[in-house]
Amino acid sequence: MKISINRKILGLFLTGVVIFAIFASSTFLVIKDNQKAVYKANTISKKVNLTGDLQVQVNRLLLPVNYYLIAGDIKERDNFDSIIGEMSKSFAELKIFSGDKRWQTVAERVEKDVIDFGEKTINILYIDNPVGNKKAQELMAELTLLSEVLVKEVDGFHAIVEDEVKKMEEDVDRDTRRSNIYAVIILSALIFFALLLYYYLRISVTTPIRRLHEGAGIIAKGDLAHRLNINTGDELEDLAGAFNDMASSLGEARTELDRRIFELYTLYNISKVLSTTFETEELLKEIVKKVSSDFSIEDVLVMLVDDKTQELFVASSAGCLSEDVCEYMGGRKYKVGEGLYGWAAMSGKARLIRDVHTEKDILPDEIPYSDIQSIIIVPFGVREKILGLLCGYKKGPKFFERGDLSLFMAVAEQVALALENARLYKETKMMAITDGLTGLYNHRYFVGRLKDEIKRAERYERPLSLIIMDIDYFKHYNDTHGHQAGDEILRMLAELITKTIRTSDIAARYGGEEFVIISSETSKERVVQMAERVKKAIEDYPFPKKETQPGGTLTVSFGVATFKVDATIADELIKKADSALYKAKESGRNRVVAA
Amino acid sequence: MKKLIFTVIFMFFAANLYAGEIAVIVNESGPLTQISEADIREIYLGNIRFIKGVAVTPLHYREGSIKDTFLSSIIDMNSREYRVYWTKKIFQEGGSIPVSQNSFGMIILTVKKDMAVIGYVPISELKETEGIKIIKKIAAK
Repeated sequence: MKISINRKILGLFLTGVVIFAIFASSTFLVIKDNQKAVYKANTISKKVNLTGDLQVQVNRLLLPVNYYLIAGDIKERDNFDSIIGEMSKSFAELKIFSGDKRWQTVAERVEKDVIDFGEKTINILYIDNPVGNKKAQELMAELTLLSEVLVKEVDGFHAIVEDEVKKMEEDVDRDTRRSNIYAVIILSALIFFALLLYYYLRISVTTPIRRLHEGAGIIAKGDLAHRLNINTGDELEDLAGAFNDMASSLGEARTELDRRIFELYTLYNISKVLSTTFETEELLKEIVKKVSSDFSIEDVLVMLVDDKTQELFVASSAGCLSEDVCEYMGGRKYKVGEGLYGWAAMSGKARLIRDVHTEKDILPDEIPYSDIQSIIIVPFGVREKILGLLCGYKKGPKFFERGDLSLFMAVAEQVALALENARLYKETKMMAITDGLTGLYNHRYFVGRLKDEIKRAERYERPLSLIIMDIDYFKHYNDTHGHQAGDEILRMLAELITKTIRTSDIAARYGGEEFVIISSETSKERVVQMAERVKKAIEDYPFPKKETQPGGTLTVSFGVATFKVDATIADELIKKADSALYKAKESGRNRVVAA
Repeated sequence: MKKLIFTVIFMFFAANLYAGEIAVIVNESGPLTQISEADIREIYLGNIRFIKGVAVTPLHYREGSIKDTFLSSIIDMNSREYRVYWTKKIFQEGGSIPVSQNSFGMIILTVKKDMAVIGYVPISELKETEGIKIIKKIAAK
């Protein structure tokens, strides 16, 4: 039942008023009892006074008669009038207190005797010549006796009053005792009710407010998981509810904030790592390492799309972290557009699998090992082109959340950018050191590389040889067939040279129709053989329109020089090879001359 | 000595009833103009307390011949009987015994002052009637 604080306070107030009213009325009853007793006491004292008065008056009534008997003055009759008048007044007042039968009886008797007494007094007062009259004195003695009887009779009132006093004392005693008991009961009830009210107030208002205060303090200190449990059914419960809502909202907001900070931190970390290298292998290694540690998952891998075959493959051992997964996924290829990975790569849509058992479209061979239940797959790419997939695996269901998906996507975007940057870097770097027409290294690279190779050969005392070659009558070919045809010859020749030499040899375009080959680990004898082999290959190669050249075919002249034997520095070595080439030209072309 | 003289005088009065005419008087502005002997009797017996809406309080002359004459003429009681009557009455019914004055002057003065008072004096004592009126004249019987 819902009772508002307003009503509670009103209820308490009304209860207080009722209790006060009961207290006041009971006090009033006690006071009234006391008033009754006081009134009774007043009445009794009045009765006592009147009775006393009556007795005095009885004696006083004897005075006029006595005087009359002494002096014989009839004026005493008038004095008698005033005293008997006063007596009648006192008696009338006593009669007013009638009601009690005993009192009535005494009053009747006293009345009768008083009248008798009065009449006898009057009789004496009307005796002529009373002074010294014997009969009068006898009557007087009789009257005196009668007065004593009367006084005793009036004492009858006293006896009654005494009884009344005794009864009143008993009544007062009883009333007092009763009042005391009432007072104790009422006071106890008051204290009890006051305690009850205090307890109720405490239970329903004070304690909840204190708990609210403490709870709010705990929440304010940052324990957002704390909840207030107040069931008073009033505004305080509503307030506690509002506090709880606020705390949970704050908690959610903070969780969200933590998550955002974590995302930003993760992204920052990853982008920091990604910016340290342009080497694809290293990039992939760092990516999987970072994703694994930041998301606390062991099994992370990156798949790339092979443009030529349109197949997804695990980039290399670097693109995969845990052995179990690498071993299984390493050799596998998935066609773009087919299966779990293929579809993600084609559609560009991320996939969050909370439990593999509830997903119908997953093939068993797409899961690296059977414990895995949670999978997250996020494609990445640049300019509408999907480059690959970032995949995470976890044992047990429902590991990944929506939030993980967005963070994975953000990471994947970074990965795509990094891979693209690495590709661009490689491309740019290649452009700087290669010759645009032939694809061989350019002159500048050649000079630098030759110096490096000489240093190495010198340090390890290994042989190193250099070949310089020049196309015979190339001007003639250009003049006859045009420069485009000449360029084509240069391209073909470069390809032929690359195919013919060893992979450890470095071929470069030296000048217009001049090429050079740095041949490490090669003595003069061996390099001559090698040059001869290249010369033979050129002679045999079906260059277009080579029959138009002087001599009927396209030929090349070679000059070779060897490090340490012919020269000890790069410039010298080039010069020696160049002069050998000159000699080859001089001595009829299409030949190899060693320095 | 003084007492003795008084006693002698009173004894003389007691022995002899007053023989002159008695005037019953009230305040001049009172509503009464005359009254019957029966009414006077009832008033002095305490049975009539109001006449024409005005209270009437009877007044006596002190114990003596004129009072005796008045009582025997109007109420047909002697002073003793009258006292016994009143003693019974005040104890049984309440009320007050009519007051006695010691001089005629005091009676006249009281009547002059008080509208409710009715009194009696010998006509011979009424030298002037200013402020009072005689509502009855009683001849001694």
